[in-house]
Amino acid sequence: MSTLESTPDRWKTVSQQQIYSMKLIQVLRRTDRHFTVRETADRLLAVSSGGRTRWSRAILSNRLSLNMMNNRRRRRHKKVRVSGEIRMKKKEAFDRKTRVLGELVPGCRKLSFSRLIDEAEDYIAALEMQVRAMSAVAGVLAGAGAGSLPADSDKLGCNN
Amino acid sequence: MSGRRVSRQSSSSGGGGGGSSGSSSSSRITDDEMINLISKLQQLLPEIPTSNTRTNRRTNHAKASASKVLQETCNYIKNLHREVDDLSDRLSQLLSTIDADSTEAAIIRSLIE
Repeated sequence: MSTLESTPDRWKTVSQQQIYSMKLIQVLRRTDRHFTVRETADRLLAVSSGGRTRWSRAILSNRLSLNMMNNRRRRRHKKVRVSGEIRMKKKEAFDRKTRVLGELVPGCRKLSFSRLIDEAEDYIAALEMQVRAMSAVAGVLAGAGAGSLPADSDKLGCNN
Repeated sequence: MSGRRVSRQSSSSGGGGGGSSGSSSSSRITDDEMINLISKLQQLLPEIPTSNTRTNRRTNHAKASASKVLQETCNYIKNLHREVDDLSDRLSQLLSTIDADSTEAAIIRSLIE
């Protein structure tokens, strides 16, 4: 049961990018937002995810603006003294990098390895779409500021 | 939470932790499972130098190349975050300098052309 909707490939369609771009512009134009542009873009991305992924739910569950939440994050660096076995060191490097990955994908700190990989896969595809879409939006708005017509048609959905 | 080992290598093929049950405890993943998962990640990344196994120690080597792929994945996500940040800054700037009417006009123009 792997329809396009449930795979990371759904982020690669032109329509997905177009819809996101349009909605993003719509929301950003409002003057009553209390989220930053970055937060708005991320929340919209999470909404576009359709609630199926942990990272999207984690983003949306933060009701407070991140500006207020930044103080809460602490880094815990744990130094472990180990035996000289190569195997142990490699395992630790692996664990450490796994933990870093879990911290990079929202809401995925405590996931099992396999679920973390699944979430990361979807999250990466979503981020790539976000970058494409926001670049296109910036292009359109830049064109608006300069007062010139955009050169390419269908700019908001173009994907190369 | 911080000291929890996420993965533990196991030679038994007990099917591993699977992970789909959503449990947050440490899971045993088999070598095969890990290799499958890492190859999944590798496909996401733009360019990863894949290391060919030459030694007999599949486990060590699997962990080493897995670490490399994990590292690349983390770097890639960080890069994407940075790009989104830069784009967000740019959009903030653009939004503050143009008025709503121009925005609307530009959008419509870009759609109907």
